[in-house]
Amino acid sequence: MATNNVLSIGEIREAGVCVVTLAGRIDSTNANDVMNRLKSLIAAGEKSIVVDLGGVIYLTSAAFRALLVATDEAERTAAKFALCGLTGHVRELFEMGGLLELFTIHASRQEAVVQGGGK
Amino acid sequence: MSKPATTRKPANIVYGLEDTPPILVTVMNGLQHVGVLTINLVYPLLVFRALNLPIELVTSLISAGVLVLGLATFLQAFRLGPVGSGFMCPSTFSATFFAASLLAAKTGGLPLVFGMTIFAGVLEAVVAPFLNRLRAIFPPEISGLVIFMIGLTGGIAGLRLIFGSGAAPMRPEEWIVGALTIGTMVALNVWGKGAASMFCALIGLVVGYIASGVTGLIDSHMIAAVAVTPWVGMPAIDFHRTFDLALAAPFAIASLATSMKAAGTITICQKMNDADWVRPDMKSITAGVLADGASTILAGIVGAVGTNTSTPSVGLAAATGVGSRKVAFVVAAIFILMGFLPKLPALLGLAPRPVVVAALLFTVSFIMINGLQIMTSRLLDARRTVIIALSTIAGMAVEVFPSIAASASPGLRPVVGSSLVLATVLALALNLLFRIGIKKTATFSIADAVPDPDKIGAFFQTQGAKWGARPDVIKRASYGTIQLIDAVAEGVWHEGPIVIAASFDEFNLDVRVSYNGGQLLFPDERPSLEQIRGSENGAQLLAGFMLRRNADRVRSEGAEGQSRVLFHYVH
Repeated sequence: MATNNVLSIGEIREAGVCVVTLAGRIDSTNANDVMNRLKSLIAAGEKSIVVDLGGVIYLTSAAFRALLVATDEAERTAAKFALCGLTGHVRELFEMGGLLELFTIHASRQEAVVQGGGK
Repeated sequence: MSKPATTRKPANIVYGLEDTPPILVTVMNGLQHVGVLTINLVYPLLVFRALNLPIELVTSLISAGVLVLGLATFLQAFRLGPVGSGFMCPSTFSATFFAASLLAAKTGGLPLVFGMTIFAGVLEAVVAPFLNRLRAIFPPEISGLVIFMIGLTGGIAGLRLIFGSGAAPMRPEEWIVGALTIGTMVALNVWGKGAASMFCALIGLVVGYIASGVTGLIDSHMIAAVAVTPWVGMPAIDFHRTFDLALAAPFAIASLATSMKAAGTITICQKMNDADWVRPDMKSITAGVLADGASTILAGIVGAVGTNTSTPSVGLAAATGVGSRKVAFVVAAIFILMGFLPKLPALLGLAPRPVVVAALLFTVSFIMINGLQIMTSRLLDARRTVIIALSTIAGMAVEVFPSIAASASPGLRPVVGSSLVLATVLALALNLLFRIGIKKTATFSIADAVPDPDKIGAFFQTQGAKWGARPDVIKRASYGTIQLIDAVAEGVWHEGPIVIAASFDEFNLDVRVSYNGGQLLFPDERPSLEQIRGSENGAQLLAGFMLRRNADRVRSEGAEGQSRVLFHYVH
């Protein structure tokens, strides 16, 4: 069980969009890993990023902060940055934090890629 | 966690509460409900007939009663301030008040019937705001049991009209009419599609009336009696009202049973309209029971017997998939109109025995199953099994052995004389008894410098399974604890072990997290975007805000470097 919950960060390119897949739990112990990975992608000039949270079990506030910091970084460099794969408990946590409106969120990865990570 | 503003409609519901069905569907459904609801006119009718009142007065009283049903249905759906649940939950005369009303009629005539009805309504309205606090005494298995027993005893009362002592033997044409009526309803409900399935009860009633006409159960003499009834008339409401303390007990029990039944019916409405229904929403239940009590007060004032939300009607809505509030307004309008048209109540009063019994048996099937569903909506542990089983057996014993009521002392007769009341009272008593030793506590200590969330999750999962706690509540408690410890570990000074103590008593889950260190803040407002992004302190504030919303209640205490956070979850 423990191994399934460990955070894994994947990265693939779909139709010119950089899709970052996150799986496992994201908390204060690994939120910086997520933030640094996203920051480095933006710093490297990535203009369309989609973060797929489909495999995430839960996120704590530290993870939300990491995603919000990355959103800010993307805005500064005029990069498109969106989330997808928010289902079940993960979506409830976004609602609980009143955070849904702070992100660009797509219903599916396919839709997010078509939009190129934008709205 | 806060409830979503909009609820998801279950797949079997064609037109939900807020939907507007086509006008024909709305009117036809309204008529169908009126058809089902008017069956219960038999209760005031039997009370008034027991007093040998002149037929004109009985018709006038029934008209007044019909008017009350219209106003009550409207009040329940419309929501007047804190009164009314807003659901399509029509009112009808209740079998629960029947025995007490009959006793009052024989003791003090109509003035006592109406006076005691007002008393019962006031009592129900007084109890309504406290239902939330009485959750431990009225858990779902008891409200489910009450609904189940109402369905069962309703069916038995119907069969008593056929097989009971004093009932005239059924003639062959009565069997044919009865079989045709219930056969049509069942066949259309099971195999019918679209409108045929939706209007199965109404079509069945029409078939029953036609068959009654063909076989002579409704003859020209009876039709002539209806013909002489005027088309328009005012209901009679000019009576004195009296009160008798000796009858307070049976009316109080009936009032308690009706408030529980109303709570159960509103629960069915909630469930029927929300695919993600988890637990009863006490706010709409309280408002619904208040409206139910107000309707019974109105009944006493206008001149009728006690009313109650109609479970068969809600069952019918579930069966047809039409639960729109607009249908309730149509039902209310038809009843109010009927109150001033005495010919229609007179015509409805013609319904022969097999038609009434067939319709009753069809509708109570849905009540019983709804009761069963509510009873089994929670894990049936040893306590609940005994409560449900023994109370059902006790209730059935009253039906099977009339000697129980006959040999009881007059003081006990209101309780043991009614299967519904006895089953309810016994279930309530057993439930109170079984509350003893129900609270269970478990503790878990984290000594590691970096807490392992998997261990915390496993602790809650193990305890939740052991206690029979609902998985969704356990998940919230587990996440709350993990989030708290994560926030403390990251941004708040702390040292030494963190101790988690969880206690569960079936209606409450309380989690206490204690540690040596600083306190986390729990703001009511979400920190701003700048605050969250600006520093790690923003993540702590966000954690506190989320934790406040995750639990039903949060309390934070701190003294001499020792901090304690208490999360309360309603189960």
